[in-house]
Parts: sequence; C-alpha cells; structure tokens
Amino acid sequence: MATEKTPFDQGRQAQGVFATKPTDFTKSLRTNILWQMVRFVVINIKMIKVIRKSHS
Amino acid sequence: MSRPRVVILGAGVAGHTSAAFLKKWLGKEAEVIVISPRPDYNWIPSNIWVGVGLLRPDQVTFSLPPVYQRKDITFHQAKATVMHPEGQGDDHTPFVEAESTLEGRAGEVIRIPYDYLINATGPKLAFEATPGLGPKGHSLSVCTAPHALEASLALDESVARMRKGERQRFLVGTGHGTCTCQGAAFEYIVNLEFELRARGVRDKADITYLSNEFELGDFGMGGIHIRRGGYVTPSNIFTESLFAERGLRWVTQAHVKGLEPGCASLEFLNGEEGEERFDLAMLLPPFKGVGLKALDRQGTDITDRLFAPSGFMKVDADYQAKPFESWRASDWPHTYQSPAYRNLFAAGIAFAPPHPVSRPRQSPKGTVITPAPPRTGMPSAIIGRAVARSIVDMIRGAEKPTQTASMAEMGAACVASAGANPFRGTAASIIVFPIIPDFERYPEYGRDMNHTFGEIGLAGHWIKILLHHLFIYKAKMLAFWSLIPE
Repeated sequence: MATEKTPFDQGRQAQGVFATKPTDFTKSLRTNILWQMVRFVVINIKMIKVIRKSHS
Repeated sequence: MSRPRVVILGAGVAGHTSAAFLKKWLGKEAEVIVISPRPDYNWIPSNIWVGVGLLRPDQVTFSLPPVYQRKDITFHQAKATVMHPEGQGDDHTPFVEAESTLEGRAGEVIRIPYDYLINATGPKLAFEATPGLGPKGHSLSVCTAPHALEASLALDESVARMRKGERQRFLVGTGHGTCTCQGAAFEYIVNLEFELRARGVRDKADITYLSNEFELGDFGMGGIHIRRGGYVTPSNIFTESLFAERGLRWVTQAHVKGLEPGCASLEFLNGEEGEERFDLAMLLPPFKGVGLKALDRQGTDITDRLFAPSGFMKVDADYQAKPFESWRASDWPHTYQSPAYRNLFAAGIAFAPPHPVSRPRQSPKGTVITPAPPRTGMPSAIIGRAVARSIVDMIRGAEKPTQTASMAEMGAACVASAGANPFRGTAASIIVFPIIPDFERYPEYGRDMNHTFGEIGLAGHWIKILLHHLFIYKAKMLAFWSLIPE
C-alpha cells in the first residue's frame, strides 16, 4: 500500500531530484571491508602528508 | 631569581596543547600555570556520539587536575575576568584576575602574575543572541558533554514516541545568522539519521537541516573543491548528495530570529520570513569572546585596544576593513602575538579572525547571514604548539616569536562521522590545504588540489575511532604522547 506523501516528503523529493546520488555499486564499496582497508591506508597517507606540510 | 611564569587561560585543545608542550620543553626552567573554569578536558569532536546516545559523557572527558599534578603544571579552577598587562600602580608585574569556580570558593578573586600569557579561552556559547535558543530555551546543543547528554535523552524520548506511532520532526543546524561550526551540525544530522535507522523508526522521522550557509557544503570555509570521478567538484554537490541519499531536507541562507516551543522563526537572505516547526531541535549557537577585560596600570579600560568587538583577541593579523575582493591569505595571523604587548598571545578560537572566509552577505534588513570562519580542532592545536615554542624561545633570549602557524599556510584533516558502526558506519574524510584559501598561490580554487581531498566510507569511521582514542591518550599526556601529531 502506498503511503501518503507529507508536505515534508514533497519538499525533500523536490530538492533531491537534481542531487547527485551514488549508485548501488558505489554504496557497496563504502562498506566493503577489503576495499575500505585499502582506503584506510591511502587516506592516512594523504593525512600524514598534509600534517607534515602543516608543521613545517 | 624566580622562574619565569607562563599563564594559560583555558584548557581546551589550544590551551591544553600549549601547556603540555611548554612543560615538556621548559621542564623546571619555568612555571606553567593553567586557569580554566572547568576541571575536565573534553574531546569535543566525539560529543556528537554522546548526543545520539552512543557514548557516555565520561568517555569524552577526563579530569585535568591529576594530569597536571603528575606533570608539575599548576592548575587553578577559575574563570579569568581581567587582564592587567602593565601591572597595577607602581607594581609593573603583569597579572590576571580570575574568579574561582571551585565549590565552596565560587566567586573568590585570585591574582596570578605572569611573564607570558596565552589567551586560549575558546568561545562563549552565545545562546542569548537568539531568543529561546539553547538548553535553557527550546533547543538542544552538543557543544559540551552535558549538553550532548541532554540531547541524547531528548532523542530517546522522541524515539519512544515514534515507537508508539507518532511522527517526529527534527531540526538540526545553526541557530543564528553568524554561526560557525557547521561541520558539527552536519555530523549530528547524519548520525541522528543513522541512529534512527538503527533503532527502526526512520520512517516516522522528518529531518531538516537548517543553515546560515549560502549553500550546503560551505562550512564557513567558502566551500572546497575536490577532484572526483574525472571532475573538480564543489563541496555543495557532495553534501547535497549525502543529504538526498539519506532523505534529509535542507533549508539554507537562514537566520533564526527566535525560538518558541516547537517553532523556529526565520529570516532569509532574500528578505523573506518563515518558520520551521519541530519536536526536537539541535541548533548551534554563535560564538563570541568570553568577555575578558583589560586595564592599564592606571586602571583605565583598554579592552578595545586588545580585543575586537566580538570579544576575540586581536593578534598580528590585518584587521583593516576592506571589500571581499581585497582579502588576502596574508591578512591572517602568523605568530598570534598581541600587537600591544609582546608577552601576550592568543591561540585557538580566542584570536580574532581578520574577516570571514565565506563571502559576507546580509538580508535587505541588514541581518548578517554569513558563517564565521572555523578554527577548531587541528588548527587550534597547531597554533597552541607554535605559540608555546615561540614563548620557550623568547624565555631563552629570542627577541620576538620564532614560530608561525598561519591558517593560510596550514592544512586540516577533518573526519566527519556519518554513522557509527564498525562494519556499517561511514565518515567523510576531508583534507583541505590551506584552510584559508589563497587565490594568489592557487588562483583557480584557492587551494592546492593535490592535497585537498574528500571521500566517504567505512575507512573514515575507523580513522575517527582511532583519532578519538589517540587524542584522548595524548591529552592525558601518557607515555610518548608528544609523538602523536596535532
């Protein structure tokens, strides 16, 4: 059964129509343990570079 | 000959970092004294998790006196009220007056002489700027651990109502046109949404983000650009995407005129007025200086000379009023030394920024609706450390500060939680360099695109957890604490 749309829902949909949204694949990568372990290392390296640059 | 005395007002990120490094570098060579109205250290970034009921206040705070006792740092639980940078009458020794906040001695005035003074008092949470704003009014906050606990209890009540079938309206964001710290509001709203899903009541919740930003993703930094998917994309695209994905509605360019129970009255940048109704509102207050006064040797009030009208302390920045197009990254302070007194510094939120970073805007009625620049977290700590090093060198004979820490020459790494769970949680990892855009060095975007970065994922949540434990460990000054970078 379709639920009734509240004014809030209508406003939210109108805003969301033109927003970029992630695909299911992108969303799955966000919580994929193996991929995120790789990203953990990459992000930490990027952060360390900026921290070193900021302390120099 | 007595040891030099370095007095630090405030024990937040900037003040505590300064105190820790001063003691580490000076040892018994100088006396390090901290004055703070509260006896606890609060790792504020984790207050978000207290506010949604995932952490207890005691997991984001710890008692400072035992730490300072162990490290031979003198601690006064008191609120600094008046600075006397020239001393008083014939006595030329500068000193600061403070009112004790200890139970049983509240209001008792103490006078603490100093050779060097660091003002790291942080912000006054100016809830009074908006009628009805704040925990004593009709909205909640996560700015302190007790505030966050209160927000968490209110959330529990809302969830109980939703479980009985009621719809609940949540309003999260900024409670005034000049607020800063939009990042905290962003973190709270996405954590709130995640938590409502985890508790199985998301379908009963209408969640709205209310902000003084011109567009989402400004964060008081004029937004950022990052390279992603073959494009250089502005942060508003990413923030809108995050909100749309989670079914969050947003209202921007808004100043909150006042709050009544369940209703926020708004004024928009285009001059229109409106209102937002809510069952639970978490709205951040604007920040002001804590209201320190300054007197010269004769007792004449020189507060205006040392402080900006906002109450933040003037340092070595270019405070000359000029149009947005004339702003330069070099306007921002380098050494944080007061231009009036060489032994006086401000660190962290306590220094007066020369101007906002976001383009200033006001409504046709003249209401300023512009985010104030952020200077919390990593920059506060780096500034605190740089000021400490300069003072150490000046004690040892240097004529002027030896260290610089301009926010236009440093980056910041920020991890904004978007849901706390070790396997399903995510966080936005954002790196920006420099914090203050420098359009002379980086003409197109104001920032170094090789070092400015953003990504959302579980890895960010793991980093957020790691940082929580690392920085609390560091603040407790346990073994090898100084190896952990700011």
